[in-house]
Amino acid sequence: MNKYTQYELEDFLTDEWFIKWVKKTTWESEIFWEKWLTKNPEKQPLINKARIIIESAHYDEPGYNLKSYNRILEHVLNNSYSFRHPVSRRKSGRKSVIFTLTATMALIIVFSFFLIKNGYRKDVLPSYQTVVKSNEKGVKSNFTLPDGTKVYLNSGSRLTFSQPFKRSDVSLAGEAFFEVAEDPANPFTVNSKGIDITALGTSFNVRAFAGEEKVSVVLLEGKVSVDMKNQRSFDSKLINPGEKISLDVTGGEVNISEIDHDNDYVWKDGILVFGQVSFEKFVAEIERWYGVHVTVNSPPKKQWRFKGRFEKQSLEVVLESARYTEGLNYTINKKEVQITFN
Amino acid sequence: MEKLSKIAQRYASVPGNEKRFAFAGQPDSIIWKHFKKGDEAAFIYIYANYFNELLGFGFRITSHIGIIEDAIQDVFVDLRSRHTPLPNLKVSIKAFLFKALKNKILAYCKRDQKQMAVADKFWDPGFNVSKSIEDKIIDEEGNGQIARQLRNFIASLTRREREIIYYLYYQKMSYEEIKEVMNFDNVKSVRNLLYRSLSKLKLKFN
Repeated sequence: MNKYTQYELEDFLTDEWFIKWVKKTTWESEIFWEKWLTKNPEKQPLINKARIIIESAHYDEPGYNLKSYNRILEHVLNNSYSFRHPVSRRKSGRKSVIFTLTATMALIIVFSFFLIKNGYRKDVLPSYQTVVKSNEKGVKSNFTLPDGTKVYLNSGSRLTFSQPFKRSDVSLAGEAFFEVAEDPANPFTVNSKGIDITALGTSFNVRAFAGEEKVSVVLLEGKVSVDMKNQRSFDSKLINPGEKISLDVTGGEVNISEIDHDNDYVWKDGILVFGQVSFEKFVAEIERWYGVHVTVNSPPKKQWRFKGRFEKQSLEVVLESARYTEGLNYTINKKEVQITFN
Repeated sequence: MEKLSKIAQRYASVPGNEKRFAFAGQPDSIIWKHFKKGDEAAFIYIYANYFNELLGFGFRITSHIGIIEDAIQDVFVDLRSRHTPLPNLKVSIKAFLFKALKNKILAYCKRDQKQMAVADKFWDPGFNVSKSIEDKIIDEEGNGQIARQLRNFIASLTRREREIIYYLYYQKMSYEEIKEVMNFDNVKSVRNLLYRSLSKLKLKFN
C-alpha cells in the first residue's frame, strides 16, 4: 500500500491494479482504492488526472450488428461440418452399442488411471455439471442455492448454475428475486440476456423475459453493478438501494428510476399487479401467471390501460375485474381461455 | 433491426446454444478445454462472447467492414477446422482471438495490394473523448484545453504505443495479454515502452 504514495502520474497510468479500479473490473480494487484515498486525501487531484486520462480512451465503433452476427455464425457452422472430434455420433445396431460400451469402459479405465496419477485437477476434468431450475408457466418456486442465497423464481422462468456451485456463474431467463448470502470475497453474478448483474450482500429482482425488450433490475439493499458485455459503449453502472434500472437490450438505452414498492417485486409474495398495461401485456402475463393458453377471438375495441392488484386470487377474479373495467368477455375451460369483445 | 423474438428463434436452432450459458463466468482454461474436446456449446459461447469485441477491434485497423467480417469468419473457421491443430491457450481466449484476427486482417490488406488504402486506420489516435468526460475536464479547467492537449499528445505517439493504450485502457487487457497480442518478449518491456512515452505527458500537462 505504501509504494503508491510515491507514485507520479505515469506510475498510476501504467499500474494494472489502478487501471482495474478505473475500469471497474474487480470489486477488490474498488474497496482497496477507496480506502487508500481516504488515507491519502492529498493525492486526490493526481488520481483524478490519471482517471480522466484512462477514461478518455474512447474509440468509435460500429454498433452491435445482429445481422452480421447471425450471417457469419451460419457461414462458420456450415463451413466446418467436420467439427473437431465429434462428441457423440448416433449409430444404430448392436455392434456399435457393444463398441460404444467397450470404448466407454476403456475410457473409464484410462480416466481412473489418469485420476490416480494426477489427482483431482479442476481444470483437466469437466468437473462441473449444469443444474437447471425451471418453472413451467403457472408455477412459482423458491429454493436456496448451495452458497445460502435464497431465490424466488417466477413462472415461465429458468435459473441455471453449475455444480459444484460457483457464485460467478448463474444465469437467468425470465424473472427471479435474489436474497444474496453475504460473502464479500466472492461477488454473486447473474447473467441475463448478455447483461451481468454483480452483487455483494444484496436483495434484488431481475426481470428478463424472452418476449420483452427490456431487462430491469430492482435493488432493495446492498450494492449492485450492471454491465452489458456485448455493448462496448456501455459503461457498467452501479445502482443504489431503492433504484430500478431498465436496459433496452437492442438499443442499449438505459433508464434509472425509483423503485415502485407496490409493483416491482411483489410477485414473489403471490401478488399479481397490472400497472396500466396494454392488452397484449395483460394476456402474456395471465398466460405466464396461471399457466393457461389464451385465444383472442376478437381484438379489443379501445386502447387498454388496465390497472389492478390481485393478492393470491384466482384467474376468474382477474378476468371478472377486466370484464368490469375493459368490457372483456371470457370463458374458461380448464387451461383454455377464450376472450372476446362485444 | 430484426425483431427480438425472430432472432431468438434463429438462436434456438443453433446446436449448443442452450447449453452455452453454462460457460458464463467459467475460467478461460475450462472453456478452452471443452472447446478442444469438441463441445459445440463452448464454441457458441466463445463466438457470442467475442464477436462484437472482434468487430470493434478490426475497426481499429481498417475501415473496410468487408475485410473485417471475412477475417472474423476465417478466424472462427480455422478454430473449428480439424486440419490445423488447436494450440494450448497461453494467456486468454481474448488475446488468442485478437492476435489471430490482427494477423488475418493485415494479411488480407497485404494481399489486396492497396495496402495503404486498406489498412487505413492502423491505430489512429482514437481518444474521441466522450461527452461525459469532456464535461468533467471542462469543469476542472474552464475550457476544453486539456482534452485537446490529450488528443494531440496521443496523436504524437508511435503506432505501437497507441496500440498498447488501446488494449490497456479500452480493452481492459492485462500486460500479459498485450505481450501475447503484440509479440513482446516480456511483460516488463510492454510497461516500459508505455511508461517512457507517458512520462512525456506529464511535462505537457503541468
